[in-house]
Formats: sequence, structure tokens, C-alpha cells
Amino acid sequence: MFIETLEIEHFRNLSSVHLEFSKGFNVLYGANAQGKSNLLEAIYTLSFLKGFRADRLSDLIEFEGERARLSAVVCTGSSHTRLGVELEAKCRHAYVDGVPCARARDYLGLLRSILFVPMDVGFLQAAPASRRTMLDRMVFTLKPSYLIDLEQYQKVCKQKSAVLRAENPDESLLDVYDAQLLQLGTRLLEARYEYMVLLSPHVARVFKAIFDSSCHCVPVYKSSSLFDPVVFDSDSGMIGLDVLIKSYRDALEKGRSREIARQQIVLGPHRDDWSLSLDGRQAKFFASQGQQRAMSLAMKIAEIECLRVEADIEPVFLLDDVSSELDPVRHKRLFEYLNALTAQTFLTTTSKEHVHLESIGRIFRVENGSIVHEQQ
Amino acid sequence: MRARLGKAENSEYPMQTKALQDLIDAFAKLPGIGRKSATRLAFYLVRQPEEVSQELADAILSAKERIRFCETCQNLCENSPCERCSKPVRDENVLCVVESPQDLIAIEATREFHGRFHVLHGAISPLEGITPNDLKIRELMARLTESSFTEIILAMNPSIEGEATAAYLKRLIEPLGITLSRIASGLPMGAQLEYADKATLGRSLLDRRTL
Repeated sequence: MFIETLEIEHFRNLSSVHLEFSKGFNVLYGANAQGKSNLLEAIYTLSFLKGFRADRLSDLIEFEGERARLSAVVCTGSSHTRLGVELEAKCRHAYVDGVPCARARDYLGLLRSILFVPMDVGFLQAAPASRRTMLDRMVFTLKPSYLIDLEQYQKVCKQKSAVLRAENPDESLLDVYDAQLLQLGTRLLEARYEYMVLLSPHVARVFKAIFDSSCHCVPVYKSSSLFDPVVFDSDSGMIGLDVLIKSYRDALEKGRSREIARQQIVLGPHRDDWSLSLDGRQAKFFASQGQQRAMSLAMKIAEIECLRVEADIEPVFLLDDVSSELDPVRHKRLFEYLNALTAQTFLTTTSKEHVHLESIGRIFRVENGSIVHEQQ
Repeated sequence: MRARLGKAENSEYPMQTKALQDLIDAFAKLPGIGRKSATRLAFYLVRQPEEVSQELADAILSAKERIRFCETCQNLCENSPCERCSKPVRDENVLCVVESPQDLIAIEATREFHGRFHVLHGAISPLEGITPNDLKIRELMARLTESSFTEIILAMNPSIEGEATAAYLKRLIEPLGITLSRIASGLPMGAQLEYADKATLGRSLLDRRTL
């Protein structure tokens, strides 16, 4: 899928912008604080109905403005869809071909985008919750029913926690919720496992191709109920899904007294974590800063490849200021790789010299909220 | 991740007289009535002759006074046991357990069910402070030991709370050796697959039946 045209009104510092994009590479260059990232955020908002830097919707609206409007024509295969998003201080409206969309769930997914921002490089060191969100989002993209299971799982968790907080927890009620958790939790584990199996070879291949051909980088799943992490390495034998599920079932059965004592749910998919391993060692502790940066970028590219190969979905790739994260050699190899990638890509940079692309589709100069297409 | 789209509520209303404001506040507490509808109702009543308000007040008070739980099915009624429980039915041995009186009416309207009913008045939800003791479960169990039901249909909603309630009842009823069934969930009649939401469609695939 790709974005053909984009119209922006009163979005952050972009008052009024009308742009036509290339199907391939779109480079946005300009000094800092001119509006490059704001353009990426506009595309991101059209995708996810929220910004990636703003906590509140009002932060996305131009200073002293009342509402922001975004509109894009998105091409998927041979069909054209006009997506629209209207943001006000406290609410947002989504439109598909001019028709209001009542539920966010019906809208999300119409424009798939994958974003890489400089702060993503810290994902290995971040809190587990943010990594879980990242994993959940990746799984959900490939398997939409995952979101429904996840929501239901979280609802049951809340109900069970309420029982645990009561003075004398009703054990038969806990049994009921444990049965529900086991059913839903198993489905979550299955979906995550399935996804990791699919993703793993892509991560390994991308990392080798761009960053280090001698290193083997694969994802690792850390179950809260299993001592050993599951390393998703197809070359060596790995812990099977059945072991993962069995350990969860055992933990639910045996954890009762601990849960009552601590008045909270101690184990389960909502406490699980994941990471990357580099040559069999935990990347979080052993990989260098540079390697961790490379890994975070490799993860994003692997995610794109995984979507393309497994689901035939070609997302839009949003790369914010990537040049600041890599050394020149890897930088060059990254661009060689991106050149071969067929996804529509938006790239921001402070200088055109940072971009080594054989076939740049379009170059835009961003200056003080105006974006101008530069003829080559 | 699921978020609601729509307009933010406008909370700025100019000052009303105290009596009018109290009436608006009282209406706004009712389910399904927002500030705007409450204001409209209040202004309407104030403009009508006094009889209209009197009738409404009387109706509310007398309903509150006369309506009670049926000793058998726990549905709302004026005389206990209720009319429904006093009449013979075709399938005396089948009992359908529902969450609310509205659910009972919905099932009755299908004319597919000819047995007895039991209303729980809610579903288990510890989060909202609703425990099994707050529902008419004790009454249900007493009824089961006294009567000779051969099948119990658990017709709770297919929500987390409804499923939990059904699972809880299953644990209680199973030892009595009575056949238990749960209403099916899946695609509505005459539905088109392409328009079905993912949860319903997924569920109907999981609960598919052999032909």
C-alpha cells in the first residue's frame, strides 16, 4: 500500500500542506524544528488515530487552532481509498471515503505504517510494559482476532484482581476466572509464539545483511512462568509451545496461595517479556550501544518483511532521523537494503548528503512549516 | 487499544433556578439520559399542566411500592408467585436461567422456549462489587433441590461477566446430575459473513458444528 496524496491543515506547525508522494522513496530534509517529524506524525496519526510524541490530542493541533484535519488517498492494489481524520481538543473523527467511521476498530488497519524514531533504539533497555505493547501491536497486525482475546484477557484479569483484593477471596470464583484466564491466555501465548516463529528468520537475516554478517540475532520470549527463556532460533532445538502452555497452566494451579497473599495476579502473559539475543547471549546486557541501535532498526525492517511475506501487506515505512544512529559503513548498507525494499518510505534527515539512495522518488525541503517538492 | 470516536460532551450550561436544576440532575442520573435529554425532559414537565407531573410521580411511586420479586422465578411481579409461574407450561422440566427481566422477555418473544425461567438480576462482576451473593443464586439452588428439572439452560450474555456466571453456576449445578446447556453464540440469522465483526466470526468458527 502507498500514500498517493496528503493534505494537512492546522496540524502542529503545518498550517496548510498539499503533497503528492512517490511510491518509493520520499526524503524530507531541513534544519531541526522545521516540521519534518510533524509530517511523519501526520501520517502516523492517519494510521493509528494518535500521535507518537503527543500524550494529548490537543498537542497535535496547531498552536491556538481549533481543529486539525488530515486527509490522504491511500492505494492498496488497484483500489483507492480516501482516509480522513479530524482532531479536536478532546475528540477525533475518522472518515473513510467521506463516510464517518463509528468505531476505531473498523478504521485501524486501513493504512498500515511502521515507524522508526531515534528513541526506539532504547527498546531493549525500556520497561517490559512498553516491549509488551510493541509485541502485542505486531501480533495484532498479523492476526486481528488477537486484539479481542487480549481485551478479554485483560478484563478477566481485572475481575480476578478484584476478587483477590477482597477480604476473604472466594476460591470457587477464583477457579472460574483461572479457567477463563487459561483459555484466553493460552490463545495469547499461541499467537505470540506463532508470530515469533515467523519473525525470527527475518530478524536474523536483516541483521546479518545490514549490520553484521558474523552475528546471529534472534528474538527471545521470556515467560513469567518459565525459568528458561524461549529462544526463537530455528537452527537449534527450542522450547516448544506445549512447554510454554503447560508451565502457564501449572503456574495458575500452584500460584493460588501466593496470589492471595500478594493480592494480585503474579504470573501470566500480561507479565511476560521478550528481548533479542545476540550469538546466544542476552542483547540487553552484552550488546554494545551501536549493536543495540542496529538491532532496533533490524527489528523494524524485519517487521515490515514479515508483514509482506506472511500477510501480503506492504506497510508504509516512516524513518525519523535515522542517519544520527549509525556509523557510515552500516549507514551505507542500510540504504542499499532500503533500496531493495519495495515499501513506500518516508525519511527525514537534516542534510541531503546523509541519504545514499540510487533512486530517490521525491525530495522535499521542509522549512518553517512549509514543505516544498524539489525538482531534481 | 480500542478507543471510542465521537463528540466530547459539552458540560457548560448556564445557571438554572435551583428547583429546575435539581430536576435536571435527577433525570440525568437515569440510565441512557444525558444532560441534554435531562434538560429537555425537565423543561417539558415544567411547561405541562400539573396533572402530568402528578401522574408521572404516582406511577413511579406505585410501581416502586407494588413491584416485588416472584418467590419462584425471582422475576419482577405484583403478586407472588407471578402469573407466569402460576400457569402450567409445556416443558415443566426445563429451566432457563437469565441475567435480567429484559432477557426473559427477549427469550419469551422467540416462542421457542416453553419451560420455566429464573432471573438472576445481574452477572458476577467483582470489579463492580457484584459477588455471587448479590445474585439470586441461593434461590436458584433451593429451587433446583425442590423441583424436578431435567435440563437447565444457562442463557447469560456471551460477555466475560456472563461467561463467568455460567461457569460458576456449572460448578454448583453439575453435582446435582442435571443436564446443563449454554446458549450458542455466533453469527446472527440472515447475516452476511463479510459484515460480521471479527469476534463473532471467530467465535462461530471455534464453536462450529458437524453436519
